[in-house]
Amino acid sequence: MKYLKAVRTIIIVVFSALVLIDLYLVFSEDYPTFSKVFHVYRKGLVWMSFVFGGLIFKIFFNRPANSWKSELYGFGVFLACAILIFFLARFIEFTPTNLLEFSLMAVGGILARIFWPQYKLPTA
Amino acid sequence: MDYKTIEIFLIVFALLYVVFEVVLNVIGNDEDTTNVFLNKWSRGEFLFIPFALGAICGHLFLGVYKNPFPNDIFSWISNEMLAVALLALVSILLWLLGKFSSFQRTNTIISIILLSGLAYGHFFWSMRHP
Repeated sequence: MKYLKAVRTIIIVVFSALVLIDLYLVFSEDYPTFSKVFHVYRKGLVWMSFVFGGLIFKIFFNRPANSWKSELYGFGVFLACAILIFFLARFIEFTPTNLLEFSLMAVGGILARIFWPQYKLPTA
Repeated sequence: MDYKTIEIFLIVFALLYVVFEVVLNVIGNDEDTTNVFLNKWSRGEFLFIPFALGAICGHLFLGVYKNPFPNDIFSWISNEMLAVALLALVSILLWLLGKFSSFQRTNTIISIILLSGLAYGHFFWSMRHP
C-alpha cells in the first residue's frame, strides 16, 4: 500500500510539474509553450495523434487480459505502428488536416482496444 | 524562440515516463500503472480527467481554421487565456460534480465527457487559425 501511495504521488507531482512548467512558458519570452511546439512541428509530430488516441483508449476503454504476454505483445504492435507512422510522415509529402489527425487518433484508439489489453492479475 | 530545447525536453520527458511505466509493469502489480490510476480517478472523484485529456487532444491535434472570435471578447483577458480559464472552470465544476454525486461512471458517461473535451479543444481552444 505504501508503494502504491508513492507511485500515486509521483504521478500527481509529475503531471502538476508539467502544468506549472507550461504556465511558466506562457509568460516566457525565450521559450515556446508545449502546445506551440506541437503547432510548429505539426507534420513531424503527426504520429503523436496516433499515440494519444491509443493512450486514451488504453486508459478509459481497455479490456482485461489474463496474461502479461498479451499486454506486452499489444505494446509491441502499438509501438511498431507508431514508429511506422513516424517514418512515413518523414518521407511522404502531406498536409496534416483535421480529418487525418482525427482518423489517426481513432485508428490508434481502435488498435489499442483490439491489440493492447490491460493485464489483470488473476484474483484468488 | 528556442523551440529545439522544449522539443528535446518533451522527448526526454516522454522517454523517461515510458521507462517509469515499464519499471512499474515489471516490478509492480496490475494496479499501479498510470493508465489504471487515471481510469480509477476518472470513474471516481476526478470526472474532469477525461474532459481535460479530450480538450488537450483537440487543442494539440485538431482546431478550427477560421477564428470564430477574431477580436478579444473581454478587454481584460485575451481569448487564448479565456479558453484556458474556461477549461479550468469546467474542470472545477466537473470535479465538484464527481465529488458530490454518486451516479455510475459508465463508459457512455466517460465517452460523453471525453468527446465534450475534444469539441472544446477543437472549437474554443484552437491553434489552427492565425
